[in-house]
Amino acid sequence: MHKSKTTGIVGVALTIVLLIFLIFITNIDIEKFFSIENNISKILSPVQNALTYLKNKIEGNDTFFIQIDELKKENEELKEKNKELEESIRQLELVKSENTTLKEYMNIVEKYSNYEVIPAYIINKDISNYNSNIVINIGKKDGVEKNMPVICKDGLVGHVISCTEDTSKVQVIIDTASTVSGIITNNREAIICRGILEKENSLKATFIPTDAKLAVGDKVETSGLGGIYPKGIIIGEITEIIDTLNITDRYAIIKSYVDFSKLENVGVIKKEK
Amino acid sequence: MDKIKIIIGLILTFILIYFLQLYVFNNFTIAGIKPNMFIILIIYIALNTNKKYIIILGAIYGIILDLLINNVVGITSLLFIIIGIVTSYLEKYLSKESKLTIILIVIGSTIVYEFSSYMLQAIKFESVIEIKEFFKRCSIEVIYNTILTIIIYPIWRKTGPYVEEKTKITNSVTGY
Repeated sequence: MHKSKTTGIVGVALTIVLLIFLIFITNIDIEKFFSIENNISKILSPVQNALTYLKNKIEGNDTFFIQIDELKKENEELKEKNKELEESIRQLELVKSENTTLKEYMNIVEKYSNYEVIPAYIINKDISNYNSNIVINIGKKDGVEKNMPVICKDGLVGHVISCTEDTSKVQVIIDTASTVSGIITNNREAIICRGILEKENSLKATFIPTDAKLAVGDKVETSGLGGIYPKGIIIGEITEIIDTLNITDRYAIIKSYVDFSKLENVGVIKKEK
Repeated sequence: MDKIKIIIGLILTFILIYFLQLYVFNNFTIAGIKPNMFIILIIYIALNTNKKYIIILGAIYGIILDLLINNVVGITSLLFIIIGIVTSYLEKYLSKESKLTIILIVIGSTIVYEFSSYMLQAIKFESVIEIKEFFKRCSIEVIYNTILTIIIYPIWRKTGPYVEEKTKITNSVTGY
């Protein structure tokens, strides 16, 4: 009993002393304790940060489950909107493609304004390695007849060799069976142009007059002779001149301005206006 | 009934090959050269059916192709029938069970068909004859046809005997 009473008094006294000491200490300029605070802070702050992070995480999680439903809803709405936008883009692409085709038709009609031109596009190409015929989507019911010339915005394509009610077969100028009567625009010399296999999109200019002066780059157009192709439709340009021992056998290679591998839209010349 | 099924099958195969040539092989070329699967089909018919089928189907196939694409109607039919008849004649002297034999027949038939077709068209239209370019294209076509023959050979092996059994006329002599 005596011991516990004494302990109690001592404890109280100590506590009072400590508190007074603390009051005394905290009234001093805190900056004098900066280095101690700094060092303690250095030790404690990583632990504090970790505990604060965990606390925030745990606090945040209770909103996580509430927000996930909202996010799912938003995601569905965005997916729906995305689908609609993709559909719009597809439709716009179609319209764009149609616009390009129509522009090409306009170009053909404007370029050959002297002629009545029926627009068409290619639906079938030759499956042989030695022929280049094509089939277009217009026929007798559109006013197409055999031997009508076929053109595109870049130049001469060929002529109609046969037609049904809805389609027409066209022999292109680069086909080996094709022959076109042409003239060199510079010197108005008449030549015969035949399709060849050797070079892509090219023709062979033969029957060149012996006194004709040819140069690489000379343009060739239709002469109007032969009854099939009207005069003045551009065929291509001379890319190579091959001189032979016998000058009458010399020939030239003409590169067509039309890229037949990419050709899609053409026009059939019905008649001169 | 079986014969009708086989004829329908061969016609459908022709249509399938036509669309393959038009839409697939026009884009999948070797050095710009397409194969000619119609020749492979004609050889198949020649080795597995009788002369009647070769002539009728060869003529029909050829006329359809000429009407659809070519300048002159008849050349393709004629060449298909000739190739078919010659192949069926050679069958007696060759072992058609061997893949190599079939490949050799395909190679030979491709060369004969394309050369004949090219020359006939060149003569008719007085075209420029380019032998060097022709042989270059023909060689690539032969290689392509050979590759395709090797690829479809398993189908050939499976269906050939069935077609042959139903369509070939066998003369059996019975004696006592």
